[in-house]
Amino acid sequence: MSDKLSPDITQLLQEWSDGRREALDAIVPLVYDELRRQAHHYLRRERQEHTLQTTALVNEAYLKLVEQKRVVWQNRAHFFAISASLMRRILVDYAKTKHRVKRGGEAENLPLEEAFYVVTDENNVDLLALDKALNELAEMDEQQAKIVELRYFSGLSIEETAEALHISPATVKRDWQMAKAWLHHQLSR
Amino acid sequence: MKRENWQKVKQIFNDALEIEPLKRKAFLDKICANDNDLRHDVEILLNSFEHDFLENPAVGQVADVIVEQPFNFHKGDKIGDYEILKALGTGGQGAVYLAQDLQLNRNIAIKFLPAEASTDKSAEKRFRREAQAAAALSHPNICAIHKIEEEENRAYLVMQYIEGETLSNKLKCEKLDLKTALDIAIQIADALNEAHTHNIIHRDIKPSNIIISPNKKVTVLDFGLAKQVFETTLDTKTSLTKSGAIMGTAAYMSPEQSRGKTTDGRTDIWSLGVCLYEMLSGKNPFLHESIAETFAAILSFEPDLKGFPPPLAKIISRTLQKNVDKRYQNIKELLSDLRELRDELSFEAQLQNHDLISGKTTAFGWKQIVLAVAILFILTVGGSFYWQNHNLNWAQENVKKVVQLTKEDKTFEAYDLALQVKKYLPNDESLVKLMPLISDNLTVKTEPAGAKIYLKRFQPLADGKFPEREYIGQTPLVNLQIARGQYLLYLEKEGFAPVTRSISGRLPSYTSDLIWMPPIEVSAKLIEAEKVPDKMSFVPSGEYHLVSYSLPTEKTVQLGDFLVDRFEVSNADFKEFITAGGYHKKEFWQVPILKDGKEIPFEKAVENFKDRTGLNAPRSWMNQNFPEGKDNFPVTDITWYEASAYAKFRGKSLPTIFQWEKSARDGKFDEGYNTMPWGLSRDADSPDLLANFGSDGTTAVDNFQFGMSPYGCLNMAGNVSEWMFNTRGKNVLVGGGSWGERPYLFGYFGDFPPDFSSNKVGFRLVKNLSDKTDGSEPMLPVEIPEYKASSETDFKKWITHYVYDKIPLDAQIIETIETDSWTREKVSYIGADREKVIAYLYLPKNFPRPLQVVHWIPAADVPLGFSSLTHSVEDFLPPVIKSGRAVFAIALKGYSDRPPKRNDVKGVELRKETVKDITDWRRGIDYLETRNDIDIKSLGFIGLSWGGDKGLILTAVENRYVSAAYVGIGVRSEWAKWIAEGNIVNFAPHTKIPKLVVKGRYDEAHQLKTEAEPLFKIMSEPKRLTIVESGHVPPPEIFAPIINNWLDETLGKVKNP
Repeated sequence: MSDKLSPDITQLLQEWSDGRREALDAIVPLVYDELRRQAHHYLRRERQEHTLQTTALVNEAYLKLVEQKRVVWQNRAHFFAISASLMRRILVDYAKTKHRVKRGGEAENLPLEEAFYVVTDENNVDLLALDKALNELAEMDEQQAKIVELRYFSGLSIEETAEALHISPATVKRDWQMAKAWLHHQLSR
Repeated sequence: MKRENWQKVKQIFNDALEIEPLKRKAFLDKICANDNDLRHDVEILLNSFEHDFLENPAVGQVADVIVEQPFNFHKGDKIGDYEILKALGTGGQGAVYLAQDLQLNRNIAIKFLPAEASTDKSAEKRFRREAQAAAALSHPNICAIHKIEEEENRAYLVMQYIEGETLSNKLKCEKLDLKTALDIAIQIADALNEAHTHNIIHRDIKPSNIIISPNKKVTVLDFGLAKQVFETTLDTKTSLTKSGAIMGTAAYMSPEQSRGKTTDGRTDIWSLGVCLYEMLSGKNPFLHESIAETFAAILSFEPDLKGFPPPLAKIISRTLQKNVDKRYQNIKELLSDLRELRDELSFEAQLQNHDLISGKTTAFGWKQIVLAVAILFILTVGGSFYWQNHNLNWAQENVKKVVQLTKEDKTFEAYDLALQVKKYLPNDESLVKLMPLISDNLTVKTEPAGAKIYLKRFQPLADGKFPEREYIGQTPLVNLQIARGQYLLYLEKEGFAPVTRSISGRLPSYTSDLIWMPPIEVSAKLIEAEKVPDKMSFVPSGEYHLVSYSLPTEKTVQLGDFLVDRFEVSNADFKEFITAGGYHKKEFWQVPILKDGKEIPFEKAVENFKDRTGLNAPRSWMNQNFPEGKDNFPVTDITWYEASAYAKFRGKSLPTIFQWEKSARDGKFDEGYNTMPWGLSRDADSPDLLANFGSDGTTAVDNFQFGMSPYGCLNMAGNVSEWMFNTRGKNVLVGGGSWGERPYLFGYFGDFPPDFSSNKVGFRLVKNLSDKTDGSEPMLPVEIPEYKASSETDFKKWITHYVYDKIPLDAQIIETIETDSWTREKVSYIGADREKVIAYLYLPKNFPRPLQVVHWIPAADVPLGFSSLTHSVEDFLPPVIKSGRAVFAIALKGYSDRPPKRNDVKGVELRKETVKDITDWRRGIDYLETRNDIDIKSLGFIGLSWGGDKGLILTAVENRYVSAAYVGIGVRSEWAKWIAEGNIVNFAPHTKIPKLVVKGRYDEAHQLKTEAEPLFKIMSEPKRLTIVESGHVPPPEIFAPIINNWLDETLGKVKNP
């Protein structure tokens, strides 16, 4: 992401929380940028040290976006909330693309080893199925769904999730455990 | 699962998770009692619970997809300051988009490098270099490159967006008539001519790179891109057969290009010839189905030129010579042939038309006359209208270029271009606004008036020389507009001594911090020629007080008129003294010569003033001769006594410190900045062109003409340190800094014993024109301060400010450079304030890993921007690296471009700044710890001058160092009053590891006795003070063995390779 960001995101967030929908349109590209950056980081790290610190990255992104002095918790929470649902949308879209790529073309004629590899690769979460299950979860428990978005799609830590949702870290932890179990069950059915 | 049970299930599930798996059954038995549904739900969840599930964020799963397609931009996407409007096309040279520049609100084109090129670092570098060169081109027929930017490590160009049709499209629809084809070819040649003048070869001239605007203006695209693209495309063999892009290009390649030989400007001449051929005949003479056949045709097929009019056939034939030496040798020739042909054709056309009107009116009738007049109109009025329009477009485009040049501080270039543009756009608003930023008003007055004024720009040409001076008028001259920049100004009037001044209307700006400078006003008193000897300048009388960093006194003195040598005393000058028997004539030796505090007769003293052959002469001479070819170099290796005797011989005297400083800087000083004789120095200035510092030795006394002082003296900064008249204690003051020092030494006065001599010390003289001049008295020695070691309790309190979070380093190796002796890695990591820090790690070759490592902090010349960090390492530390130790140096944020603080920082700001610096350094040590080729248990510290001062805090706070060496350190007594948590004096006692302080006995920046020894006193044991026979910065031959021995001693000897 370039260092210079012309739109003042604090302003945008404020406008958005004041109900001005157009402000969101200005935020979306920023989130896109952020995701692209995270993906790059992910791949680079994966090669180097196998760890991913998305939390730090999102924080960093936010701090970059907003002038440090003007961080207001309210806005920070908004930012995470927005970026979480946007990231979810975007990532699921990407997953669809990936799906298509895999299904199409050479996927059917994979040599045995590679086919095996693809299967084990699937211990990755099926994002499309997860997306669907997450919608169902939202009907049961909206807060849990929100937590999954923040934790999984936006990469926030327990504490940050708590902050963003104005609830205690203990609550986040319990809801998160429950949601993981529930979603896992849904996906393995 | 039932919604109404949800909360209950959650409660039980979470509670159960807290319990050991084996005891869960009992727990559920108890809590669910008879509610089987509830128990079932909880059990499902417990069975499904996997801690790791969803713990790795989603982005990782699709990261590859995201990264693979980051550059499919769509309308509305933003890249940097640009918003995509539409895709213009993709091709062998990457994707091109039409976009809007949101800041300047104009349409531009964005062009990405092909992906394969951007993954290849060297290709990308080449791309950048060439694009940068091309970006400097400014011509109506060249597509302007506004910027080179980067998005996710992929470079892209921001270019002028040109509406129109490519020539290749045009050729698909029509064959062009002779006049149109010639017009187009001329404009292409004109563009090439401009580029070739700047040594830029296009290498990919072809119809699809030529845009024809509706108004017939031709624009050539993609200057500076072709080479790199060819190389990458041709390198990957597969694309040679596949790529349509290269197919389209091949048919325009010159024979040498198709063979993969090196190419020069003549390849463009060939390609233009092919284009011209195609424009007129409608087909490319060499194009075939396959590349191989096309190449074969280029190499062997002679195109048929029969259908062309003979003069044109001749031109084309000369462009399409397979042997480059038989081709047009430069584009200028071709351009002038094309123009000549066009002019001939239009002249013929006019003649014919004229015939129509005058001779054959009756035969053609009225309608034909109107038609003929109309043709004439098109050829003349219409033509000029067309050119005018063309120029207008060019001018509008170039207003932006002026803006850009201004931003880059290239004020000479900006001003010159602005004047061109102004011809067509006299009232352009942004130009009007810009002018005050790139021009100044010069006012020159002399007493008496009527002197001729000349200006010479400080604008080095390619060959390192400077432009000739230009005559601009006579005094008095009021408010003449000139380009902003540095100049030499010459005033000459018959019968009067010529005067030269360095003038500058620059606003030295550090980011937003502007220093105001008055409009340039020069007023000079002209002195009758006979009163000013050759090579001297007149300095008028007045009050003066010293302003440099190290103040021997704060007194203001009254100076009388005096003359000062414009140059240092040269070897040839001094030779005259010897020839005149100077060493033996008592009348020259008036200054009492002391030996061990006792006066000795001069005859005895001069026995010690001998050259290498034992004759009286400077120490470095032989047979009373200076080294060959060094006539005009400053005399060195002479004592103050000899300088004084020489002064007497010339009927002059050594300058007092006041006279010297007035001549050198005339009271100009700005705390925190480096004020040099020529004015404030800035990052953009190149001190290499202005003064002799950090070099291998002295240079001619009249070198560095632009480094002139306010009174026209050269080399007052650098070249050699100069003896003053004044003594201080038992020593004599010197000033100016020498070739072996860093530029900031110009701001310091040191002192040497009067019988000291060195190849870094020389002198210049003054001639007093008045009896009344003060300031020759001895200077008082500086009082020796006494510091108290701070307590452990206080120290513990202070270091709480230095605690930092170990956030991820996110370290990356950005660049690797190999030399014979070492590998230099440029790394980045996240430092204090989560900002990226750049560091360099030098790894010696052939030594077993893990390596001992030395953390180096440079002297102030690096943060002041005079010298780069790598330069400083490679200046001082090769002996350390070559003897098998890694060297690590960290560039603080900005570093060379970080503005020094305008106001002296002493309080909270100092603490913040220090904490930040120290944290950046410590994070660097964190980084070293992650490397398995580095033995962090053998980490040494070396700091030079400013770096050593800061190091005193660093090594107290950071306990991973094993030993520390501080070179040329010291504190001025007023520094002890600064804020406690950023105060060197407070931290110095708390470094526990073995410490070495290396000090020059004659350190002029930090005096040994007053600024270093008191500090050393409060440092804790183990410690050692090594005093060396040098100035502030010990030369490598002294520095290297001491440091290497120290490292052997404290880190252990390095194992041999």
